[in-house]
Amino acid sequence: MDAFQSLMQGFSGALIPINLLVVFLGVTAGTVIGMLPGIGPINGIAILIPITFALGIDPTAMLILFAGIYYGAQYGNSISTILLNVPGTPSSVATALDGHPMAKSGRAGPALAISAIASFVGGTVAVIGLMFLAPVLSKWAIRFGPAEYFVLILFTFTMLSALSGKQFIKGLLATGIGLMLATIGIDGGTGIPRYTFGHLAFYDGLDFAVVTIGLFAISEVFLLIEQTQTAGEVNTKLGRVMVTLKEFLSCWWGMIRSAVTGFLIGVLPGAGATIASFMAYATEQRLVDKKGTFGTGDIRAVAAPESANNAAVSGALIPMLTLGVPGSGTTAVILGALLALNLNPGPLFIVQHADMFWTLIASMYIGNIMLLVLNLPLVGLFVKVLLIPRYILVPGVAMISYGAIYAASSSMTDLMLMTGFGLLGYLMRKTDFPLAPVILALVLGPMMETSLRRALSLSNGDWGVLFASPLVLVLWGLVAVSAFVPLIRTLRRARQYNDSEQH
Amino acid sequence: MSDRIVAVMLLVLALLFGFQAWAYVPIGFTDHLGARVFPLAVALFMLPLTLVLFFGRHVAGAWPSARAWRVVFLALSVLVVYALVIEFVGFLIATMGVFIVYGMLYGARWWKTIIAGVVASLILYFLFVWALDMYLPLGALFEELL
Amino acid sequence: MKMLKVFALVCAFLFVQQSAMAFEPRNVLCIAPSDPGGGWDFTCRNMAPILSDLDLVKGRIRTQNMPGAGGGVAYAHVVGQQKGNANLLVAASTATTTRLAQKMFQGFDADDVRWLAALGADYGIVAVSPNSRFKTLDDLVAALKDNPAGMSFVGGSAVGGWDHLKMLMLADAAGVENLKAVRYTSFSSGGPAIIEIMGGRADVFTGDVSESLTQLEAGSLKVLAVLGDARLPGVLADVPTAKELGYDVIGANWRGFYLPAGVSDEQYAYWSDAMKKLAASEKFKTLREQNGLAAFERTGTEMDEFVLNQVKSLEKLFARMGQ
Repeated sequence: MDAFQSLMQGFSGALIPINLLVVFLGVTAGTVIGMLPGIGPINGIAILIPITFALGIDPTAMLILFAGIYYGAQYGNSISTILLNVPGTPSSVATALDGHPMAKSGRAGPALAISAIASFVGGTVAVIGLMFLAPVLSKWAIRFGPAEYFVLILFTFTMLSALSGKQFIKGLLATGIGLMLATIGIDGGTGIPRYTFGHLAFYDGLDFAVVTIGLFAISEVFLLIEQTQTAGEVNTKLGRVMVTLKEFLSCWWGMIRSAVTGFLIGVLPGAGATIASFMAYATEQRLVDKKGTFGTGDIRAVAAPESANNAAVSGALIPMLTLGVPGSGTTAVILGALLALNLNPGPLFIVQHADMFWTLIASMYIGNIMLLVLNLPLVGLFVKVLLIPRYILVPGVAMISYGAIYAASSSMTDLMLMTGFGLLGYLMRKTDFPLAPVILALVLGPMMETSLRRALSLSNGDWGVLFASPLVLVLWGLVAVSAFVPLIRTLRRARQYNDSEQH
Repeated sequence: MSDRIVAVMLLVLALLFGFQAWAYVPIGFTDHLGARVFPLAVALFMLPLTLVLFFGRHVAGAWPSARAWRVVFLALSVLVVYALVIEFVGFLIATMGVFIVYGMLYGARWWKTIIAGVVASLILYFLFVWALDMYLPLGALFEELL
Repeated sequence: MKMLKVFALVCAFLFVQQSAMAFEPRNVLCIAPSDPGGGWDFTCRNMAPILSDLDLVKGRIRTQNMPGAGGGVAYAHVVGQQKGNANLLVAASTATTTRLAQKMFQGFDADDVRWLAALGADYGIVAVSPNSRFKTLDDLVAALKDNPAGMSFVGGSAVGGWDHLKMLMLADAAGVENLKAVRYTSFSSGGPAIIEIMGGRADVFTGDVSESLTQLEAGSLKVLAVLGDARLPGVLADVPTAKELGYDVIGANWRGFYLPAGVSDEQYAYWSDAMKKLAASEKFKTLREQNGLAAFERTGTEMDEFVLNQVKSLEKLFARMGQ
């Protein structure tokens, strides 16, 4: 009841016209920023901070603005991912797996619509979680040490087989390639540069955006260029714009499950939306994909990761607000802005700045609703992007990507690398290698290595730390289940097959 | 066949990667695992998989025609040139160049590609530099005009 | 006729301007050697524009992000391609000098650029959990001498980075012989390292004040000593400096700028004067305090000397480690 009253007060703070305008601006700006691959919410917010300071916007409005940009961007990214197969961040890669095939088969409208709905569901579940569970969950974030992270990542890897489709071996090899790429850069534990070949540009490792956009977007550009030569004009069907009730219902429980998973993973500092979206995708595949339609344009496979990554994005606000520890790059930037406003997020924030906390929560509800209300009607418009003549659309995709990457890094090397990854992606597609495991391994590889090394370093070399807490044992249990259940299932199927042979 | 070639390439890559990893012995500080265990593990993970790919069952892949290859190669070269010259000729001209060449690959009318190039490069420049306050080079030519 | 007059006036005005102020920066660009959102990006996007507000620079200062190799990519670019460009500022901090001391910028040295100014500093702290077995810095140092590997330090920089160095300087000042034995675990930033302290998995955090302010106020971290010249105001007023306690360690993570080599002395003088005025302005002071930075001002040749000395002393420390 108390929370409810505070929330109502929050709404009264957030619903004043100026704040509504701010939510609107934030969500819109976020959507546009998100649609540009490689810019992302972190850059958008970092760049806007000095401007908002210069304009003297009041703290509440600023926080609302940033929250709006933050998940507006997450949704905006799904638009370019689904329509053009251009995921700008690793967290949208799972959406590309089925979203783009849907668009290709003339179901871009429902894909975008379910993505907006799933984002709304994920966002809403997360906001409710944030409201009631923030203090409890901050404890869960503290208990998660390097050993727990290591096993969590192992668990994610065991779920990964889902992403490889029928090419299991090739999926594993793609994972290996991603792990190799992940090793490039200075090793934090010893200071040794690995696989940099003396080039300063490689010291910080490969930029996720460069690899993701190269592998997906640029290889897509090459594929499109090639197709015009063999098949003439590509037939673009637009089809219907909305989802049917039946489609919606088929996604419903998946969205809820994914929202919860996404939220819990989002709360962990550093784990974030990428793990959340892949985990949701893999879970749904195991639970509901009886006919093996995941990967070919199944609407449920779009709903799950979209719900999860939006929930994760809100979940990441918890460690920032309750512990003062940012859970992601973007929340780090928001934290910086809050500190500059003399607001210290942390254990006392919810108590000392209750009004702001609840206004933020309320504005997140409003933002989520606004995102849905704004974007559902616009789906019909977004889809029209596919009608742009190919001779404009294809170089357009390339140039948005190159411009964005260059604007963020001023690096010719990055552009060259992106082209190189474009070629790699093209060749991988031609030889039936899945692309998603490369990205996932690139994100998870360094986390797996550093968390193992941190765990050992903190325990002074005692491997027992990997089994030392109840939490870590639970995670090991999950690893065992997810690794062995498919194995047992395969064996049982094989036996049934043998039995029927004998009769 | 293509799978076999890929398998051999990946095998060689994994071996090189593993050998290189062996060299990462820290001289100053180190932690318990050191810098080379992880890359070595990755190499070991890859090796058996490449063998399975080599000896496993294969499906004949559909490779693009020689002409398609040429087009893709051209599209790739344009992007490489773009990266090489953007600092010098500036974002606007480099972007227009890509639009024109790609437009030609698609067989669009030349004046249409030029219009598309001019409009798109201006929109993108405006978006990144003015709206988002990021940096894109104008190029030596425009820099003089300012 | 009237036109001519105006023209003559404009000419005269321009001439006077020219002679009175021979150097005037135009189209100033600030290179942030990090992605948008990093500390250097902050220096460029928030500190530098105050120069325009104060009319020390005409027009807007634009920011160019050039991430890579912890500032190395930008350093190589400035040394190699921007020689003599007086319209270029580059954001720098202790992280830059640390890497220079480790020779991680591909053979470039600290004297390959002109160090312009440090405008504020984030002081280092030695922090533990409130229920830690170490109640004072002396407890910690005694334990460290007894068994250098007996406790784990955490920080938000890589091995050989600033947070690691502060720990080494402390151990060095305390007379610990085997510096290599002291255990340091690196995290990607201060936040996750603090979580390790809060979760009881690590013992000591050697970060900076600004990244731990919220935990300090809430009492979930306890600071044993501040690595500054003098006590800091605010929450940390009661915390002694390491110097007071008899360990001569100063860990000031300064934020500032450098210029490319080859700018004329006159241009350099203009900029260092501008930086002095910037540091004295109210607007800057507010910004500095809002971001948890303490006053720390070095400009012009004083800055140049300060940086070269810092690099030298860090080189000595690294040499002792065999790094």
